[in-house]
Amino acid sequence: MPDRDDSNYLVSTIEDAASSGEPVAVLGHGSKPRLVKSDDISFLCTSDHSGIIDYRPDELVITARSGTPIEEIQEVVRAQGQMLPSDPPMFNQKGTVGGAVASGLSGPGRPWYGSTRDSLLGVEVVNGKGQRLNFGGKVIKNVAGFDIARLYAGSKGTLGLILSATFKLLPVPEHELTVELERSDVDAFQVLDSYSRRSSTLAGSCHSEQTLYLRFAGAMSAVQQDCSALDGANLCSDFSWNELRDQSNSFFTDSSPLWRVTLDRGNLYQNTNELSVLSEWNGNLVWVKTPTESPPPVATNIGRVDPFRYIEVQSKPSLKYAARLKQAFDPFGIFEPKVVV
Amino acid sequence: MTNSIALQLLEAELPSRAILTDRSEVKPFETDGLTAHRQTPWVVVLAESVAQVRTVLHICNECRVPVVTRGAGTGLSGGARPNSDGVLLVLTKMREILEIDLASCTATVEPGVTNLAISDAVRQHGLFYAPDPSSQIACSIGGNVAENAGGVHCLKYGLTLHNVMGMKVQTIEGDELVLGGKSYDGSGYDYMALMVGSEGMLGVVTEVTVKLLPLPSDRSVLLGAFDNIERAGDCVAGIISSGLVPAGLEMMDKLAIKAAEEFANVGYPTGAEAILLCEIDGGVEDVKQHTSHVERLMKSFGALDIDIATDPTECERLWRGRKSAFPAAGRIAPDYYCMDGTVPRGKIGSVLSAIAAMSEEYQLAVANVFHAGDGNLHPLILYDAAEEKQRQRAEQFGAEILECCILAGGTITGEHGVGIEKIDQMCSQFSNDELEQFHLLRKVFDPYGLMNPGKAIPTLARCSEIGGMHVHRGELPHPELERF
Repeated sequence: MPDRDDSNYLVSTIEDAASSGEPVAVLGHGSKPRLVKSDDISFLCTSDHSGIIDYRPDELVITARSGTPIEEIQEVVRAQGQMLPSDPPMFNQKGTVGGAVASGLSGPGRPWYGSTRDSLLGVEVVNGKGQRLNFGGKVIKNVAGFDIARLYAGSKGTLGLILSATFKLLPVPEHELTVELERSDVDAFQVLDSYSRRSSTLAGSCHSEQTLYLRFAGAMSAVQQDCSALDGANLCSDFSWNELRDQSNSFFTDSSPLWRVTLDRGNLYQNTNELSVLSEWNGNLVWVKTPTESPPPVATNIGRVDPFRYIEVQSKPSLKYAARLKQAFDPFGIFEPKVVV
Repeated sequence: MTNSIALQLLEAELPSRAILTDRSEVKPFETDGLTAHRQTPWVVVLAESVAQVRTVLHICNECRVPVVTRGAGTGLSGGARPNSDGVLLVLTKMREILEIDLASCTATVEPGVTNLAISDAVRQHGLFYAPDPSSQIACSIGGNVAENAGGVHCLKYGLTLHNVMGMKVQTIEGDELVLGGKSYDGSGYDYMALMVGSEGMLGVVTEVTVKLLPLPSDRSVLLGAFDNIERAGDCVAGIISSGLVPAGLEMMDKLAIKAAEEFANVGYPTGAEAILLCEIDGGVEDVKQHTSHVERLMKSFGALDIDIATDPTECERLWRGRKSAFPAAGRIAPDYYCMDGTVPRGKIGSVLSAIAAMSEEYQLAVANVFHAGDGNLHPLILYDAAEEKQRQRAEQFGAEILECCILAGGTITGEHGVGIEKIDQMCSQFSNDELEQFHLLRKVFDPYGLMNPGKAIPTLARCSEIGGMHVHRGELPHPELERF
């Protein structure tokens, strides 16, 4: 991807939209599912606004334009033995910095390495008035002003256009091993639960169709010790955490409605309807496929269900503070007016 | 006369023991940890329940009376300084640990629970709450949330922001926001990110659910002594970029070492120009391997002497000097002014040199104690408050350090908050448009601007005013502002 600074074009387009009141949808690679139908909206594409602006490996901090492919970031930092800790998904091998922030999605290591929001240190954005604003910064500890940078994580393009983002990086663990175990839902839950109250090198979990995959990462001797302590575990070389992250493994390849269930830690997903289910994040993130567009049952006191893919969502009125927040950043309602966050 | 109506309403709705108005009773609340700034509050309410908090907020909103929320009052930026015509809402009586949930590894607590009380309560289960500000024995979790408190171990475990999973917030308009919970990354705007570090300006946190982590099975502490502060700074960058994340990485300069040693008598090398304290924790194997790795690195960066502690008593001994650095500074000068800027790690050396030059210019000594691993400086400016001119010089010196941090690509506050202390430097760090966006955001939750008014976010008028007075090295700040 060639480096290119499209800031002026993007800002002036937004200024025009602000004066005309014509809404825009900000788009990177377009790799994330769009759930609200928006045939009548024009897209403002950031994917040419690309390039790493600043990367200093000894600071473990990187700043890149919003159109920069996540893949490029990961390649560049990996060459220095570092990683973007939240490991944002790259659906169809695509995905940009801006999309990672706006979607707020994180990869399989999230409970151990933190979320995209957690590693986000700062953003430069354009609000709905066409103002270029910087929030946060390039240092890890920074409490000057409200944390507006992190508000942009998961805001789905409704509060403005992200021009660039700065992330904290982590060193790549020295050693990584994946093991597989045959375990039922309940037994897998017990294995995972046993790790929650002791320190270990566990850094990834995936359970589907009676098989539990565990990833261990850290110092070689510690990883080996954790693996050998597991009864009935076999080393597994053909399980891909990247395919899980990118939803390109066999579980995700059909077009059934896909739901994202976030469970309170310490709970097991009760698959009462025998739906097709895959869980990661120690069992706290569950992907559920349903035959129709009606959501899977989840007890409201332990978790919540959100539509994710192949489901059409109707626009609904925002709650009081969400509507005011939107108004504070986008007074003319030009950014994704139909999307409710 | 809205204040007198407000007081009548408060007296009608709250038990009399919860309301303090006598001068002698409210006097202890006139300052927080930034003791140079004092203001007698109009009324103090010692709230005992969520219902009482909601009552106070409702009355203040209806009568347009300012309300400042206060926890234990250990904050260092004047964020809890009261208003002379406002209510000071004190939450220290709400100190119940509501739930320790071992299945989810979370604790749900009231805002007045102290930081250390959480770790104390869960230690028996092999767990701890990671953020550990120096004031952890006294500071409350509600205050930690309001300030996004850090501490020695946040290099590895993150700030308050990364360790809070859920909260209940009361807005001044009477809504209860239930944010997050015990799961990760639900959908919706991240209101929790806004509340953490909002310095009491967006809502009152009445319940917090924090993440508990397994206590590491092993740890070690290395103390490296250096004869050159820049080499110690380079060693910090060397450790961080070598691919390991220490639990803590702290640095002290000569004056701080000497003061700490005289105070705590822990065997620090008083002849050294700088020391690095590096804590490694984790599994036994991890700790063994990483300790020898750091030892090699310290040697390669020219450490003269390396002390390695592996048993808990020895580790505690090496930390004791660092942890007593602040009271120790209090012994070598009548007063000290603690700054809190953050700079990129690579700039530590040059910023320290600049501070040393300023120290000569202002004729005030500085002891440097800081969270080197994340570039968070705590220069302690030593002065005598009894001498008015010294006090003024100390404040100017501090302000110049913060300007220097901004120029180095850092920030004016790493973990203490803006409060009233650094409000003028906010004008340097943010543009008018950015400050305006902060004000608009504030109005989302507090349309009349009654919650902790005058803190954290300066008005544009204030910035323009101080900009005219404050000429920085011959350059006028905010050249974009019109000045006539």
